[in-house]
Amino acid sequence: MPPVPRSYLQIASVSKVFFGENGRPDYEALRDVSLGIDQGEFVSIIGHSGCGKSTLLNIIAGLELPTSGHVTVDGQRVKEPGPERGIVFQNHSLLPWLTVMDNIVLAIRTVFPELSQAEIKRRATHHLEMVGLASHLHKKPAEISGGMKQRVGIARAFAINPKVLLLDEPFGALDALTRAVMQDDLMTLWESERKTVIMITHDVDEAIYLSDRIILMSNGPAAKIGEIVPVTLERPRSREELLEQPEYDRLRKHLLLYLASKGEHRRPRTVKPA
Amino acid sequence: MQSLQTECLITPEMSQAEAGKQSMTGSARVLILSTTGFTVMFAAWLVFAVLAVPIKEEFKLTASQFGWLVSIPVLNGSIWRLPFGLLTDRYGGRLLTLMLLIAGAVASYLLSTAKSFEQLLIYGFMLGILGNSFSVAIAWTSAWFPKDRQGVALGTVGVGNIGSSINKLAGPLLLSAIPASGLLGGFVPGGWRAIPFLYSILLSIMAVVLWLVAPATDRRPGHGRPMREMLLPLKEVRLWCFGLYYVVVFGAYVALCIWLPSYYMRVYETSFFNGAALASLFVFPASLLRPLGGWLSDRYGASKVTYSVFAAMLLSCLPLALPPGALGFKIDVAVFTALIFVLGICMGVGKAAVYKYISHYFEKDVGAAGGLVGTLGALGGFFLPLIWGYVEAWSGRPYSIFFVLLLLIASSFVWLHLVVIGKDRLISDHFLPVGFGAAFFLMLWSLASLLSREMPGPWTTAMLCVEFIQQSFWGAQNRVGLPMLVLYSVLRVLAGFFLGALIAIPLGFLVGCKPFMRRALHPLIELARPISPLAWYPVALAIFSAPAMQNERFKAPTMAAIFVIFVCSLWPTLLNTSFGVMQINKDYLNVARMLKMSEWQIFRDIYWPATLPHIVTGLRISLGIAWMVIVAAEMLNGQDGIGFFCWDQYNAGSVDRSILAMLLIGIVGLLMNVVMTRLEKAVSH
Repeated sequence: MPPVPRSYLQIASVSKVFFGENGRPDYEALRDVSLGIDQGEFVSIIGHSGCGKSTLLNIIAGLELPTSGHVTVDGQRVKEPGPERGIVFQNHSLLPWLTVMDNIVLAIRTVFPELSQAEIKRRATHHLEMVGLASHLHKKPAEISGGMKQRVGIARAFAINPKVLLLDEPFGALDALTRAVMQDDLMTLWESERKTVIMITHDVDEAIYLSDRIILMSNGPAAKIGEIVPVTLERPRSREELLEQPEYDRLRKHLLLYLASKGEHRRPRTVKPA
Repeated sequence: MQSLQTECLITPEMSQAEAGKQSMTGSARVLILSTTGFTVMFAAWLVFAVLAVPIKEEFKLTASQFGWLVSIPVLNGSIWRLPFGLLTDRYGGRLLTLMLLIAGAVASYLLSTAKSFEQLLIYGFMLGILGNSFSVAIAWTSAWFPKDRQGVALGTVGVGNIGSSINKLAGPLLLSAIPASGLLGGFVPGGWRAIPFLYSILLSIMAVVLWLVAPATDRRPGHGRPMREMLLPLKEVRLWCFGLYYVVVFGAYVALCIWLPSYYMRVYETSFFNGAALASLFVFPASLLRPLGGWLSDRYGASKVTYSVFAAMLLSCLPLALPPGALGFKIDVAVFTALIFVLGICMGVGKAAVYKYISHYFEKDVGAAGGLVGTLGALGGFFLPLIWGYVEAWSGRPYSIFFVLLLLIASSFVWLHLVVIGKDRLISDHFLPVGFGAAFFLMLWSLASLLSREMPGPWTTAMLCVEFIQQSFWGAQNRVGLPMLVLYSVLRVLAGFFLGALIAIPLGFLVGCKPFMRRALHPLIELARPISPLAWYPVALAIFSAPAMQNERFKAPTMAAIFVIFVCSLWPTLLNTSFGVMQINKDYLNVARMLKMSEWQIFRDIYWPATLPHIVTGLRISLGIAWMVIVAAEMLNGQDGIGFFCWDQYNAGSVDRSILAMLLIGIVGLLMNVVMTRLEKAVSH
């Protein structure tokens, strides 16, 4: 792989304070978070509920603005949401009055208005085939399962061809079996398109299986990056082989211990690979 | 032979070969014995039909005493049919028929010695038990016949009904033939007492014959079965369906036998004798064709026979149920008699088909099932004349009894059809509750009409309205007909409603999206909303009466009515639209932001489809209110429309037509709601 600068996506001293109705500061969610992410890197953010990881993702997406600090993507400062940062929402957020196909078509047509109708159709079909939904094109979201809806959400995010893919606990609502399948699919997709991915998750195994680096957030209020754990396991990874590697066990234990200690404020440190 | 042998397996105490031989002759003997036994017992049961007049004279009975004397045996002979059927399945028809014959002989003898009204009543009651011989005969016969021959067999037994005619023919002859002093030196008493005495002897002889001739080893399909299991068929809804069918073909037959002579006299002004003679043209096919019906049922199946019977009954009953001249010709005596004759044929054939059904569906429980159906039919024969009496008194129209009969036939047909196609659950799940609700409502209505002299009851209303619709449905005497009245109202509502929607939907979006507009309009809306739309009527009238507003086609009252509709359909649509806009799922908007949609795109692709269900709900409510308000507005503006008609007819003293208007208003409102609900479903996601 050609070397790429680590500052493709730059989070620079981002803090976020929420204000109450009376205009006074109500809650400090993030304090002075800085992080650089490579192009094509897969990064997971883990932390307890309410640690501000969703806030961080929303700031990267542009859905919320930081109180201080800023985020740049490929040198461009983030001021609002945009199609160069595709979001897979926690609850899929499909438009229920459109079919699976039309949800994707709407996204492509909005982002690429110059494309012909036929080309839009072709791309939409392609992306839905990639997530294995070719036979459900003309169903409404209410007619398909939770896992399928999440796949449509992923297909939509890929279809607008973003530079960065932001996933907010994409598989949180799914059962364990479906989740494993979805993880494999996401892995395959990522390996074929090499997007820069930031994913929020609760699931330690999911994080290790998918990520290049795992960001551990400390507990809020005023959450920070507690620790950054590189995952040096060889790719392509297979679930069965991972289980037999001592490195996998070591990482797993480390992450679980961190979470068990409730992510009390610690000095950031880097774990040396074994 | 083969089928008979297998049939005999029911009786385990016989060896197969023996059973085969015996049953050949056995079943024939049983059929003859049960038919003759039933005929004699049926005749003895109805003996009061002949004795009534002489007894009335001798004991100087009042009308109500006389009524009791005639009806007590009928009732007692109807209600025990079910237990007798059960007992026959259990202990065999031979035993039960024997017991009935002996009991009947004793009761009949006692009756011939009666000295007081009380004694008459008691002995009459005892004699009444003979009416239950029907279910005994049916159960006994069916136990001895294979399935494919039960139609004819049971039909033949049913011919015993002819026993009632024996009374009518032989009774008067005997009465005149036997001297007052009696016969054989007073052994046979004289006067009316001779007849029960002779019946007593006849019943005794029949008992001895039965004892000697009936197969000694009887068939008892219910032997050893627990009573609860034998009663299980009664839980099946379809059995009650066959009961209603039997009410139509047997109950109505009995009722018509009673009703027709006087109907001829009252409607066609025949003499009593001619009336009775014409009525017998109905009685004979209805009694004698039963075996034919059985044979047809065996040959073509009960359903084919039944469907033909029902079709013919509906066709022949319909002209009778309509007001005279409704079909463009008058039903004279000849046509009436012909139609009644057809009805008689149908009933005769249908009676057999019912029992074919029973032996088919309730193979092992003909006793219980046949008993219940027999009871229901007999009770129908008991109660139908009472109901007819009330209906005729209510409506003052003799032909109304055929309307009742038509309804009975039609509902029985519908139910039976559902049973045949296996959808009879519909009855217990839907029709029954609906019917119950309707009956309750009609009862309340009738009560209300009893309390108020101005308010017509349901039946009177229906009759008056049918007449009104026939005469001036399309309008008469320069008046507008009903369809046009409804159309005017609908057009006014639609005009006001669409104008309202045109304003309310964009306004709703503005109020929902723009906080400034919300704050500006909210107080006005909240103040205007509770004002009854009708309160706008004077203002509207004032506006549209202005010279500048004058219009040849649309007069001020019309415009004012439309304006009132416009105002009342404004609020629900407006509020629902703005509510839908404010309720919009923020995730959809986040998607729109991620895709960087333009304002117009966000409206077209997100807000509009997301809000549409709320808008349609608002429109549905608006239309519902508008349809209610138009009635009041038209009452105020005094021009035309269904609301005006409702009020105008009350003023003219025809409350029945006001009720007709209410019905039309309800139907149109219902249709509007159905359309809007469909639309609502189509746009929901």
